[in-house]
Amino acid sequence: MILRLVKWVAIASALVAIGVYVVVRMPLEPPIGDTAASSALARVRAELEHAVAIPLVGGEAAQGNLPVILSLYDHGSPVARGEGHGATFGAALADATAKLGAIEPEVLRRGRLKLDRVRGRGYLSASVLPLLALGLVPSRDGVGAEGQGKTVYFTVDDLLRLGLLSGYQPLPAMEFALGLDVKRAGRVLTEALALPGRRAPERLFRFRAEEYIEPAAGGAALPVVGASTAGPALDKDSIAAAARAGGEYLLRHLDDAGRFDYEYFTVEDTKPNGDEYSVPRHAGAASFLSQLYALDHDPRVRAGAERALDALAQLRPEACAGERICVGELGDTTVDIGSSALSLVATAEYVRTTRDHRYDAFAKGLTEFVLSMQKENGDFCHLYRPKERIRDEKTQLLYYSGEAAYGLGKVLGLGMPPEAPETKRLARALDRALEYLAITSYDNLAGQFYVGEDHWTCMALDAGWDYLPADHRERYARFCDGFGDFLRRSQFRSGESLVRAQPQLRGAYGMIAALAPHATPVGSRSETTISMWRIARRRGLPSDDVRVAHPREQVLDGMRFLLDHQIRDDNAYLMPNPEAARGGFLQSDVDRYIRIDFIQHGCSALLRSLELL
Amino acid sequence: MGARGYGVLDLSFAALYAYLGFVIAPSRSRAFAVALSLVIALLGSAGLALVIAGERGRIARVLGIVASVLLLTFTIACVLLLVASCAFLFGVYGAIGQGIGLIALVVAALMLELCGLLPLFQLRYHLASRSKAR
Repeated sequence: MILRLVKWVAIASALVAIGVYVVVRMPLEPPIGDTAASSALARVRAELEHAVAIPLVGGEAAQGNLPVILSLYDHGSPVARGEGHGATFGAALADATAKLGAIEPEVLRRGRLKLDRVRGRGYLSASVLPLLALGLVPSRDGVGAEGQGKTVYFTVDDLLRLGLLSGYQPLPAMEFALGLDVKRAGRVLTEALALPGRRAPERLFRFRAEEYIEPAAGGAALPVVGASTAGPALDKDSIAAAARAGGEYLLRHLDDAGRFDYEYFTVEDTKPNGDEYSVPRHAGAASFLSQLYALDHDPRVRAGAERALDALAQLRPEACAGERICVGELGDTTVDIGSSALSLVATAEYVRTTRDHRYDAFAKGLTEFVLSMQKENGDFCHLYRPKERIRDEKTQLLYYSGEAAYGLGKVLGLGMPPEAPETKRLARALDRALEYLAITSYDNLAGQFYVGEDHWTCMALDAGWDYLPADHRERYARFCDGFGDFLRRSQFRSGESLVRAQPQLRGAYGMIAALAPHATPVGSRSETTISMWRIARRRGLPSDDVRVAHPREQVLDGMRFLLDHQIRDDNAYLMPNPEAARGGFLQSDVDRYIRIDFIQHGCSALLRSLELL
Repeated sequence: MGARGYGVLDLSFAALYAYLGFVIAPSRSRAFAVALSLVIALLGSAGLALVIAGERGRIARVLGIVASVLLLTFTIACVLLLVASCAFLFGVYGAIGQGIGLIALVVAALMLELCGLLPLFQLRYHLASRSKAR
């Protein structure tokens, strides 16, 4: 009986698998390629501007029943759109051009033409919400609907502009969303089909298009994936330029009082600046400006760093003064160690790059505060009530212990005299912190099977390396080797099936395809991987040792990703104000806002990676 | 193993399913929660009855058979849904769905071990002992 049952379950499973696969897969027409797409956009522009027809390459490619969609983007929106049909690409393009309608010459001259050549349509469930939400490949698939004899196509750009690609919450208990925002998408599609009342579309489908856009400043058409175009070649010049662009973004978003626009929403062109301001992230951004100053010694960058540091030095809640200085928003009755630790990092970075000691008293007070928060086991208390002078011994928050250790490492790394008592005190504290972070906290059975967010830990080891006992730092370095291996396994790398399918993911970190990769983890993980590379070099390891070669590979892949995803004029066509967004990094293709720490981590990694080239 | 042994296993597994299904990985689907509650309730009742009545409890044995059939049905349905999910991920995401698709298959295999073996063996035991009793 058992064997018979197993046999039937196996047969049923195979039938279900084949059935589902056949229904949901999406066969695609062959692509037309860069040359044909460039020629198509040039032809459309020539026809619209001068009413002349120039030759079209690849016009004979089969198009079947699939449309060619032409859009003209101006100030972040499609101001004209034509959807053309025809048996061949050329015929469909001509139809789409004719349907673009009348466009004012000035708008046409200013705008950028975009081509979405639909290559395939596939199944999309209209009734099972998780299947609808997760039935699209993010940033690759558009959504279409049919009803009352009409068919509408919402391209990837439309979904991104409307913020529809990050709206489904699969686990109610967890605060993350992914996939299509099914409720809003349903409303939008119903409206587009002009269906009466609350009638739902008769049929939904997903589609995939080959996408190209005219560049911002002339030239051949650029392939587009997830509203982004490929970045410049990976070399020292482009990396330095990208870091400068990040600095320029921060300077543009720094007010006279030294406070940053914490977030900037690129589609809406708004900066909320509500209650969400994060002092640790402010300190991180200030630190990056100081770091950038070392590149060109640009006085504007230094002035920006000083303005941000001056503001930081004012952020002392009541009783956060004296020998121990803690930092937080002025009304705070509880402060966290992360704000003070990253303020310490920012002041140390300022001293390192300017040799100006104006913030020394502030830094000294911050150092004393960080030291006072260290526990017997080397870890740190994360919260403090300054008025009562009470440390919270229990609450543990993400990153803060590593940030505290990094702050101490940065101060030591300024070149403190090794034999001075103050140096020894700090070095001992850093050693105890690293002993806890790298060894003690994993010294249990479960700890052999996971790693936490330890990027600050390995950066702290790098920063304070010269001040740590040789046998101790070697042990911590071995921990960082393991952490680096873990990071390597979670990076999308060349040769993997996922990267073969979506080359633009190369260098990103992630777990599953349904989640669009974020730029900030690429920045922060690259920062720590650069530290691992530096540590390996200090250990005297040769270039071909995996502990040197692997981190270098990882970092360069990460830099490739960051260069591709930094906002430039070419990939800002969905943004009404490209000037405000230029140099920034989006949270992800589907969450199109910029926060100051996205720049801090991404651009700090870019700057530090110069050492590896 | 005797009836009481299966009773203890039924109770243990009912507690385990409740912990996994309602604490560790709660589903947002009400239908799934109801089905799981039914399985847990039946399995728990069968376990309790088998522990109390032992080999001679006829009602306990019937309860054990019903609970095993239900659990087996539940397992087969879950496995088929997981296989369908795997095929869905391969179909929609292509190469980039391979990783998570394979995870779905691994979960299906775990599901068989965690939920499929107990009812299979228990069902065989109860059906064999019913034949002997006749």
